[in-house]
Amino acid sequence: MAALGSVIGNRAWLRRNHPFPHVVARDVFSGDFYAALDAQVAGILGRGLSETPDPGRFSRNIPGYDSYGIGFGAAAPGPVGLFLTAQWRDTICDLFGVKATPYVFAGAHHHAVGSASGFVHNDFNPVWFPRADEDAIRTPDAARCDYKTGTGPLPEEEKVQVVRGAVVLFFLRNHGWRPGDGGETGLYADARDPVDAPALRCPPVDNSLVAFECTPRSFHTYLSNTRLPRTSIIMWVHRTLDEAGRTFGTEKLERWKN
Amino acid sequence: MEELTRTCVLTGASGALGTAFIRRHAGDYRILAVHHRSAIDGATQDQSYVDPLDPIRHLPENERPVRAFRADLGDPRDIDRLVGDLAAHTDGVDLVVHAAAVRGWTSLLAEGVTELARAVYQINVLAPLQLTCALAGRFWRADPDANALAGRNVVTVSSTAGLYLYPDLGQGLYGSSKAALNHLTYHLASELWDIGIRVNAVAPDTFPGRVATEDVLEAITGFDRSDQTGVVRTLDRRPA
Repeated sequence: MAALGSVIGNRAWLRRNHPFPHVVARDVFSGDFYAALDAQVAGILGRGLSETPDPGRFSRNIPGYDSYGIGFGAAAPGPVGLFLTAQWRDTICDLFGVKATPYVFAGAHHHAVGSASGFVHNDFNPVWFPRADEDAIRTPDAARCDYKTGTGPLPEEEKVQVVRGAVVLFFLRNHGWRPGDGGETGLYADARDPVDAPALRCPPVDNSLVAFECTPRSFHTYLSNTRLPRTSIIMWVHRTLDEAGRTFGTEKLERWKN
Repeated sequence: MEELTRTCVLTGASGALGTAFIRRHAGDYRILAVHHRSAIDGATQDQSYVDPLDPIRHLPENERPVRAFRADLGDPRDIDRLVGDLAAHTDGVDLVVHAAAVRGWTSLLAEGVTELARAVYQINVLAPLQLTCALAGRFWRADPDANALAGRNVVTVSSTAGLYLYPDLGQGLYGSSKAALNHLTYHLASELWDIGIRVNAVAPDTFPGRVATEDVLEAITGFDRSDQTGVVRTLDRRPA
C-alpha cells in the first residue's frame, strides 16, 4: 500500500462549522490513485447487485436503508485497503481529536437511481468488535460478534464495545453529477428537521469527501437521487466507550433500533 | 501583510461566480460575502483550511478569510437585517457586486409559473434594488463627494438572456428578469450619480461554457477601477 502522502492530492481540506463541525475536501487523491480506486470499485460493482446479503457483492445488507452495501476486511487488497491503514485511521483521528483505537470499519454504499432518502441520524452509536492489540487494525467480524449487538460466539473478554468516533464519506463513480440530481449527503442542525430541508447539502462530486466527528449533534442522511446512481466509500474510526462518555455522556449514545 | 483598503459586498458568494470572485480577489478586497443555503467555498470567520497530513501547518489559503453573512434575499425583511449586520461590521462599502441569481427556467405555460416568477424577480431584480438602496441609505447618502473620490460603485451581474431571445430553453422568467435588471441598472446609475455612486452591469453569456469566468471577473473589477457609469457590458457569442 502506497504511503498516504504519495497519493493524497489536495492538502487543503476545509473545516466548516455549520450546521455542525465537519470537513470537506475535493481532489482528495492524486489522479492515478483515484483512477485505480474507481476501477477497483467498478470491478466490485461489476459482480452485480444482490437483493439479499452477500459479502462478496454490493447487497441489501442494511435494514431500512435503500442502498447496496459491502464491507472491506482488514486485508482488503488494492486501493480500497488505504481506508484500512493505520496512517489513514490516524489522519482522521487527528483531524477530529479522536483518540485512535484499532477498530475501523470501511465499506462502500451504492444507491441505484431513485433510491429513497435515509432518515436523519447522528452515527453516535455503540458498536462491537473482536478485541485487538493497540498496534493492529481490526475490522468487524459478524461471524464472531455482531457489529451492532455484539451477539455471537466470541466470549465476553474477547470482544469490546466502542463508539463510532468519526466518519468519512468519500465519493466516487458519480461522474456527470450536477445540482438537482440529488444523491447528496444532507447535514442538519436538528434531528427533527425535515429530511428534504437540510441545512447543507454535500454534493457527491467524484474524488471529494465529507467527514465529521460522530457526536450527539452530527445529524446527517442520504438524500434521494433522481438521475444517476450514487456510490461512496464509507469509513469509521472508533473511540473507546470511556472517551465517548467523558466527552459527550453515554446517556446520549444512539442505541440501535434494528 | 498589506491592508485591504476596499470593502466589497458580494451576494451569491457561494455560487460559481461568487466562489471564483473570492478565490481571485480575497487578496484585493475586504469581502463581505453574502450567501444563503450553500456554504462559502473558502476560508471565512468560521471556516478554515487544514492540511490533513499536518494539521498544525499554516496554510496560505487561510490568510485572507472573507466575512460570511447568511441571508435569504428572497425575504425583504432578511435583506434589512443583512444591512444591519453589514453596518455592524464595517464603516464603509466601496463595491457592491450583485451576483446572486436564480435561473427559474420553465415553460411559461407550466403550472405554478406565476409563483415561480415572483421568486425569480425577487432574487434577480428586487433584491439588488432593495439592497442597493438600503446600502445607499446606510453608507453613501451622507457624503457624495467622498463616494466619488473613492470611486464607490455597484455592479449587477446580468445576462445576455436579458438582451437576446434564446428560444425553447424556458428562459422567459429568467430573461425578462435580467432585462429588468439591465434597465434598473441604467436608472440606478442615473439616480445614484447624485450621491456619487456609479452603477454598471455585466451581461455575460453562459459561463464558463461560452464565456470564460475570468472574463466576467475582469469585467466586474474593470468597472470598479474605471469611472464608467450606466454601462451594460455584454460578454457573448451572439446567437445565429
